[in-house]
Formats: sequence, structure tokens, C-alpha cells
Amino acid sequence: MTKYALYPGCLIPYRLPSIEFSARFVAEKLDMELLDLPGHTCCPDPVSTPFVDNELWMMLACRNVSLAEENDMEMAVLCSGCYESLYEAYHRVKSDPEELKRINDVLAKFERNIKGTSNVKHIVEVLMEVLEKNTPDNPPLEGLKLAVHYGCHLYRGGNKKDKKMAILAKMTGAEIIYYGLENLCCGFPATQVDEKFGYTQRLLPKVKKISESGADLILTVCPACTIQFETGQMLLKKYGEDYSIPAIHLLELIALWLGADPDNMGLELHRSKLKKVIQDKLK
Amino acid sequence: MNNIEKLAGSLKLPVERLGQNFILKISSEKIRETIETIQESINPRFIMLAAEDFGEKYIFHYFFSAKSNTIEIRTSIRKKTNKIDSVKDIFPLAEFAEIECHELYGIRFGDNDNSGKVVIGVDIESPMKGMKDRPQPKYMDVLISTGCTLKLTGSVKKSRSRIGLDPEPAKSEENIVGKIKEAMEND
Repeated sequence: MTKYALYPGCLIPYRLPSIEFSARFVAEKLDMELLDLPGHTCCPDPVSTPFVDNELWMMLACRNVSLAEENDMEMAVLCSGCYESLYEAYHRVKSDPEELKRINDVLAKFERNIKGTSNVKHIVEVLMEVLEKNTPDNPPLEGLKLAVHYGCHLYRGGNKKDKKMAILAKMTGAEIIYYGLENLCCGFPATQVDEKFGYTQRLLPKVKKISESGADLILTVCPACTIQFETGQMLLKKYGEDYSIPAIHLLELIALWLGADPDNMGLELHRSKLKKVIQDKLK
Repeated sequence: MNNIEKLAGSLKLPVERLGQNFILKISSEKIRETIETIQESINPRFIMLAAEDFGEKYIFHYFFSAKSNTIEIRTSIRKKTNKIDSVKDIFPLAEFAEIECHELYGIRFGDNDNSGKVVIGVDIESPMKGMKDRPQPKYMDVLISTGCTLKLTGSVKKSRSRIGLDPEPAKSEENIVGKIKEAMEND
């Protein structure tokens, strides 16, 4: 059985527990063990926190990875933003012995240390490794049309995770619809600073194109993007725009493919009609 | 390989190239040595020095142009140090930029006496100095300690239970941010 240290982040357990449910469901079906990491903190956020206090950002991220190292496990990260913070901080200490020493001098006061012997992996990488070796022959999710949204943070660190995301989605039998703006940011970070810009200049062009493409759902791998699409479409109404295409996280899609019951995975916590669309399309 | 890359090689410095722009990252102790070498070997034009407040440290960007290339020498100091060597005797134009950085952030350049004010008005405090030293709003601690600014609502707890998850996600140690900050300050 393959073991990973699970890092769910904050938005998934607090806002979209259906993704956490899906991660655990998929792990069980694919004979993977996801170990919880008690004591973990926020990643912290990769966009604003480093500019407020870069040292603290490094220290907290490295402390989180040290919890996985302590258990001799690689980290499986469910959120793309958390992945960027943890990957980048860990990469820095792995490639700079002075930085490693500096971080360890502080962590030693908490009887912790970081060695640089593990890996921080996005859940897309983890799933690809597992599913490439052993692809289940579950019935395909026929009739489901998906517009893929890769999300900015997935590109960082390389390793072609965006392509892997699409490959994994195709494994489920769902159809990927091209709409031309796959790589555009959803606008989540910008919305925190300038709501109008984030919604009308980033989100709106995407949902317009997705709507024209005839996709049933928007496929994401990041909870922040998921929330941006769903809450954002509701808030676009005040700018005179009416769109309501639900977003689905890749883990939820794979859980459905592997037999999860859409009535019992918490899909009603999405701020969209995701559950109804799934029930209608996968009758 | 052009002259700048050759020079970086001779100084054993990594160089990043972005089109016609070159970035050389150095430790702050080598600022004079590096800029002297650049002046002697390439004799570029000094464009600007900019300091950037990066929380625990200041980052310095020294910009030069040489033919169609720009060169940036990037270095940093910890705020506790608050001092870096002056290069105004190598590039006289740097003096004004050093004064500006001093007046905005309070950074000292060598043993220069910049007691007067040149860049900002004599009767006003620096708009930048110590900006990031002010106590952070409490929400920042929440943001980077508990994982989020969200409340775990009763309905989410119920939903988590209903789908077989623990009602409350794994908890963090209490006040871990405060403890780490304290440890960093005592380091």
C-alpha cells in the first residue's frame, strides 16, 4: 500500500469537505493510505504572506513539511496554493545548505528539524503515479462535458501537471471541451484586492467562453478556483452577467468514476447546482 | 556568451538572463567588490538603486546599462543589520539614490552622514521607514496560524459528520505563529 502524508489545506476542510471526502474515498479505492498530520498549520498562503513576512512564511511552510518527513512520507497536497508554498519553501532549503541550517536553528527550538529527504507532491502527480500503473476498469462517466481550468499555481514547479490533469480527467470517460481560455487565471487573488477587476476582467471572459462551448461543468484542481467560479458567477449578477456553470474538483470527478454516491459526498456544500447536474447527467 | 556572462563567470556568480537583461545575485558583503569589478571591466552607466522592504529584510536592486544590455545587481541585508557599504565613490550618481533609500527606510550606507533631508521634506517623517515593523493586524496571525479566516460553521460540521469525516479538521498547536516569531527573534 502506498502511503502519503495528507495536506488538505484550509478551504477544503472548511468550505468544500466533499473534496476531502473524495480524497479519502479515492485513496481507499486505489489502495493508498493518506495519513493525517496533526499539528499542521496553514501552508501559509503563497500570494500575500511572503510579502508581509517572508521569513515567517518559510518557517511555517518548512515546519509543515517536517511533519511529513518525521513520518518518512511524501506529502500529497490537495490545494494548488498550498502546493506552491510548501514546494517552493522546501525546494529552497533543499538547494541551499545555508538556508537549511538557518531554518533548522529555529525549528530545533521546537524539537523539530527538516532534512530535505522527502517530496512535496500535488495530488495530480500522486494520482498520475498511481493510476498510470493500475487503471481501474470502472464504467466511464459518459455524457459529461468538462471545461478544464488548470489554475496558475499548478504550473509552478514544472513537471507538466496541467497535462496530467487533463489525462486524468479523460481516464474517467468524461469529454474535455476546448474553449480557448484554459490557461487564464480565474481571478481569485485579484478579487481579494479589486473585486470588480477580478470578476469582470478575469472570471467573466472565462465563463463566457465556457458557456459558449457547451460544457456542463468546470473542472478544477484548486479549492480557491472552485470557490471563485461558483461564488463569482453568483456575484457577476450585480454586473448584469448571468452564468451558472458548476465547478467540480478533479478528486470529486474521480471519486464519482470510482463509484462514490453523489447523494452522500457533501456536494450540496458547493455554491452551485453541481449535485443536480451530476444526477441529471449520470442517470 | 557575452561580456556580462563572462564577467559573472570570472566572479563565480550565478547569472539569470531575461532577454537583454542580466541579474546577478550577491551577498551584501560583496557589493563594493562586485561593483568595482563591473566598473573596471564593462564601465556601464549607473541607472538607479532601489531598495525594497521585504518584511524581515531589505532587498537592493542596483541597475546599470551597458550597450543594449541592462544589468541588475541584487543583494539584501537583514533589517537588524540596517547597513550596507556605500558605492558613491565608484559611481558618484549612486549618492542621490543612497540618500533616497536612507530617507525612506533609514538604511545606512557605509559611514556616510546623511543627517539632513534631501529627498523628502524636512518637516515630515519618512512615509516608508518601519512600515512593515508595525504590529500586523490580527487577521494576519489568523491567516497564517489556524489556516484560514473562516469560521467552521455548524452546518459544515454537520455535513462533515454526515459524510463520515471528523466534524472538526485536525487542529494546529496553539499560537504556533507567536512561538515561531519569538524563536526567530531570539535566534
